[in-house]
Amino acid sequence: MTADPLISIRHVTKRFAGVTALADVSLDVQPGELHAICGENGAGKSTLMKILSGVITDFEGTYLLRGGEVRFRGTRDAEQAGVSIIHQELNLVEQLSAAGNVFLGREMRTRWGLIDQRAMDRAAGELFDQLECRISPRQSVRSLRIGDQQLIEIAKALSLRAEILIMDEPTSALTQSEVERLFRVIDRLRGQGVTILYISHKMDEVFRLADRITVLRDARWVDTVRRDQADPRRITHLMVGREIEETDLSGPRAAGDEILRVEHLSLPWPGHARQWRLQDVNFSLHQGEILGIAGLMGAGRTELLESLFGASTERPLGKISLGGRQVNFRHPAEAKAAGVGLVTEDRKRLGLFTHLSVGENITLCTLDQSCSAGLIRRRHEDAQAQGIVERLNVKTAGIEAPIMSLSGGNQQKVVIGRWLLTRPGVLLLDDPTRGIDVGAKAELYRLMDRLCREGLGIIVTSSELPELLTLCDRILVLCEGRQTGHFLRAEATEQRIMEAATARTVAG
Amino acid sequence: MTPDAAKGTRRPWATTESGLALAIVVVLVITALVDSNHNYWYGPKDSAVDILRQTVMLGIFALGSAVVIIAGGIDLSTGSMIAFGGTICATVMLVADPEGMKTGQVGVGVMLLAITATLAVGFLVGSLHAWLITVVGLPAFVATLATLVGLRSLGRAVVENVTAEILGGRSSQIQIFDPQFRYLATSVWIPTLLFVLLALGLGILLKHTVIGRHLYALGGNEQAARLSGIRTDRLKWLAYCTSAVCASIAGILFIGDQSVADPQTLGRGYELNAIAAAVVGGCSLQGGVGTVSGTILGCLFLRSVIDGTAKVIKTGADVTEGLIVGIVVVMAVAFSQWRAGGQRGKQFFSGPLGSLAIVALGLLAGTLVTLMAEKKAGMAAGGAAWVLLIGAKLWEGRSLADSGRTTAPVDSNTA
Amino acid sequence: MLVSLVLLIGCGGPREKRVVVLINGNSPYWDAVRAGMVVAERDFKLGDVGLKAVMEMNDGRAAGQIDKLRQFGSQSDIVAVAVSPIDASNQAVVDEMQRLQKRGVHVITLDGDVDRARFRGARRFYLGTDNRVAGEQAGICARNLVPDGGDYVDFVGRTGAQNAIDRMDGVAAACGDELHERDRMADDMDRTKAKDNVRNALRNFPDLKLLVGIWSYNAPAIVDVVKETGKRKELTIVTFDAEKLAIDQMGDGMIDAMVVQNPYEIGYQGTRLLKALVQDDKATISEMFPHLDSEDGDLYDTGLKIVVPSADSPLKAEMFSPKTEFFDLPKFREWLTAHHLESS
Repeated sequence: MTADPLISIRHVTKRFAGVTALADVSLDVQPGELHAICGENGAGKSTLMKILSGVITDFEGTYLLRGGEVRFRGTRDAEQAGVSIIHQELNLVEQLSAAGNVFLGREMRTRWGLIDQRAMDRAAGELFDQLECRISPRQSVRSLRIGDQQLIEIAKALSLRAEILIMDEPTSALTQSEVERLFRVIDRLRGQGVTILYISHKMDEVFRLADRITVLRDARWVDTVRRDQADPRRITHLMVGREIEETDLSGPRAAGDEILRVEHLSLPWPGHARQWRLQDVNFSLHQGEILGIAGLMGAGRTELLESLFGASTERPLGKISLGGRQVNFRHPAEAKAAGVGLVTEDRKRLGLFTHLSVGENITLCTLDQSCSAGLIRRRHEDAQAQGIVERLNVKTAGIEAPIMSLSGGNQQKVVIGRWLLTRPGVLLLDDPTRGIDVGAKAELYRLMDRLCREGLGIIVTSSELPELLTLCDRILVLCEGRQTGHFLRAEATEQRIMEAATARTVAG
Repeated sequence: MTPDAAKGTRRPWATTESGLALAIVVVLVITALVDSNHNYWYGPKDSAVDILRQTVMLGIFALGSAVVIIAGGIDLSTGSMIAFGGTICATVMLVADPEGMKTGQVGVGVMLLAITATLAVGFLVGSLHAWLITVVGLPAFVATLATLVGLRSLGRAVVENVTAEILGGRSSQIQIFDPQFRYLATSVWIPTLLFVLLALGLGILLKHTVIGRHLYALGGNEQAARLSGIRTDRLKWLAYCTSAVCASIAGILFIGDQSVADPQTLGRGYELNAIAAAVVGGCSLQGGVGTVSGTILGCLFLRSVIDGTAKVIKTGADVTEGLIVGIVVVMAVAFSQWRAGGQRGKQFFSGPLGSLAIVALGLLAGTLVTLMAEKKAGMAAGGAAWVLLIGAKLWEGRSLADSGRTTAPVDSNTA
Repeated sequence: MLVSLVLLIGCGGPREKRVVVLINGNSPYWDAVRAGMVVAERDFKLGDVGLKAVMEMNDGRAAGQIDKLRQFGSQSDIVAVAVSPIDASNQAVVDEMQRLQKRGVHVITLDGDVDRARFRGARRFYLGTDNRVAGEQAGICARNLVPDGGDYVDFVGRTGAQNAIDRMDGVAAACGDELHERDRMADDMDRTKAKDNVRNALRNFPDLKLLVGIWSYNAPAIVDVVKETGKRKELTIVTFDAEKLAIDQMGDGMIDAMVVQNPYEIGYQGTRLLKALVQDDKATISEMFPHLDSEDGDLYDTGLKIVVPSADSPLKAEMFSPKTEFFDLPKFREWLTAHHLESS
């Protein structure tokens, strides 16, 4: 009854030095469908998509496209066969214009062999119109928002006449309106008969868009179901292999004494039109409380945390008081000594030491505790690291294992554990659950709840509003450096927060 | 990038150090066999002392370079610092005791003063580097390049002026006759003792102290280190001062060995030897990786190769020495990277670039053998190399086709 | 006011002209040349005629020398240049010398000369010793000190430098058939490598009987290593030039013969000649070069000395060319003191 599958893979296996990324996976994709691929981080989704799109070319198994076996030698072959991929980390060349990126490697040429800029601009412009993209083809992509950059990638795929489009976590960096726009574009593409493979772990998206859903777990295929025969709970169950309860944080938390007060905090931005990264931010934090910071990208969330930590590039103006005494951190070392810790965003770039082991990553901030006579006592250090591994339930082959062998969620736990050893009074977390799968996220929420009950004060930023609503006692909203909203948990809704985050006029 | 010496899998025979030790043994054995005088066989003590002396002199300033490299920086000025350090030492001795310098009987107090002054100057130069890099914001390459050029000039100016004033005639160098001072360098045991102390001290620092761990963190990821509350600027200060002070110690020893302080020629090119020793010994130029023991083995390896070259190619060895050292360093680093496991299954000779590499390597092998032996042997060697490499290329292509995989072009094997 | 200041500076009397001696490297040899130059500047009152004698150095390679000569051409206050060509047949160096002459700058060579067969016109005169002859004198020393023959090795800074080639060829020509040159080892002015070369030579050639140091610092390098290995009795050591350290080492019995040029005289007479050329002082010129019209009349020989440790040395004055002076060490030391020199 179903037509012949457009893509068919049989017994595909891919091994990297000692790690099996895919094990004996078989899958069919019907023409014209939107097929969602779900799985935790490390389940094999990205590897599978890279094989399908020609990024990875040596693997075991069979790959059939339109009934015939194919052996791509690179992405060029795949593109010519009609398969295009939109990566999670976009692949644009910053120095080129939008049109230049669309036609990268396939520039249109005039009769004399020179690049025909006008023809490319015109063709790109038509594609952008189809995609509701309001940027000019000549514009340099460097200054564009991620949402627009993504549309350029889609335009590129369309110009290649892609019949099969693979999208890897496309909405992770988009605003709500951009997400809506993307969905409209996807609908339009489907109307044109494009087959779409959609990787995501956001159940609401998957259930809005998909025809069928495939779940991968631990490099193996688990199940493929039709959307109308499944529900989010079942899918997450398949992804994780166990029941995920609603993150049940046992009851409300009682806030204690005030431990942090911020008054008229401003951060200058020399050389920029706006002149201020942060302007007149005021709030306080109590023990046992989780304060959330919401806002779009560029609103100043990270800069706010950096200012509290002594890590901002400019010196902040205003008054910051910790435990009643004014503080003036000029270096993270001072903040650390005063009991403030910062778990940065982008843990690979800013938080992890890739050449060190798990244990060494954990103990880095508190080595002097393990010292006697100036030398590090290995046993004490190892005990401290082991303690954190157990307390936070970090899944690792041991504290000697290389840090990069851990999954994203466990890496994040290591960084949090590092700061916990410093016995902070205030813990700052910058987008801690980015790129972390559902099961690990729930663990982190429970951990944060527990830490609060033990007396810590936590400030957390996030782009995921449901997360903030679950976690936080209060939510502060920033928009372009200004404080535009402050909500208690009871009165906060996604709608209100979004409005505050996009407010054009300053509210008070 | 796979971390070297992955501690999760403790296999003592898989580390860089063990591979390097093996390589050193191989080099020594080859030299012992091929050397027609069989020097290693008949005079092992003399040969060992020779190699020890050279390794120790190199090691003293190579350790300093290694510390900077581990901390994520680079110090190009080592050779010039050696020259400048030696110059300062000789200058202070000359100014404080001109008669003593002339007759070769410099007072012990004066010598101590000169040595102290030299170490202080090393500290100052290192601090200058740290200031230029952390405060002014110059890249390390640029800051140390400036001193590479500038210190020699400064040394020359100092020497010419001081000799003009004190000796009555401008001279471009300061001669040192005092046998006591020279004994510091010509006796093998004093430099060796200094080296051992330095190696122990730095080894303990890097491996067992908080500062050492922080240095590795700094080298591995500077931003993350700073955001973990590590005072990165102070660590860099420490690293660059270590490098400069080690170089000045070496400078004191070199002028004793050579009996003259000549800022123009002393230590020319030595910084590259130090960096090569550190890299062969396992330091990564990206930072965050490397050990004292590895660097020591790297020094030993380099000196063994150079010694071996001199003994095997008896006549005109200096002509081909540079070529051989270059090839051996490349092979050593490539080999250690391969063993770290990142390149299994990698194709070295596919595509047009691979073919060109085969042509170049074959020509190189043939030329090298011709220079060392004679034309026929050279042609045979070149031909043999080509046959081997082309065979390797075909084998690479075939083994992939066999297992049902596609041949992978050069750039699409992203993991 | 600013204008008048500038004019004042500019018109501070007749601008001083410079006569330049361009040397190839650092060593006590060149320091002695400089000492001679400075004394000559005083003795011949160069300052009174508005001349200043300066010494410049290139990096010891052809490219550096060419650069320097070019720079001199573009500086109008340089009126005479004395150069030691790094390579006798290098056309580019010769071209620069001729270009300087065309601009009216007087050019002479010292310490080393251009290829006289082809490029004689590139300079007016040559002062110095003939390095080939110097090498032959050293060869005579070698022949007489090692009558039974054996192997020998030359040690030098750069095997490609002209003076080095001339000396080594001279040694090889004059030392006879019994002595075999096994290697010419270069150290590129790195004195530590110089010592390493000696060590390697001792190991590589078991039948080594003679060590020849070609540049001035090779002497102490050889002596250091020989002392270290304790092989003094089996080896003969012949060196060129006389660094102070080498002189002391000969006093300790570590060197068997030294062939010594007279760099002081080269600097002294060279400066005198440069002044004479600038002033067109025909009297001085004919005094220095009495046989101008005959072949090789444009050469001024500053003299060679052979120095031996004592009168007990097997070497005797008669063995050498009559133009070569023969000294034993104490007499040589007297000669140095008389000339206020420490090395030569």
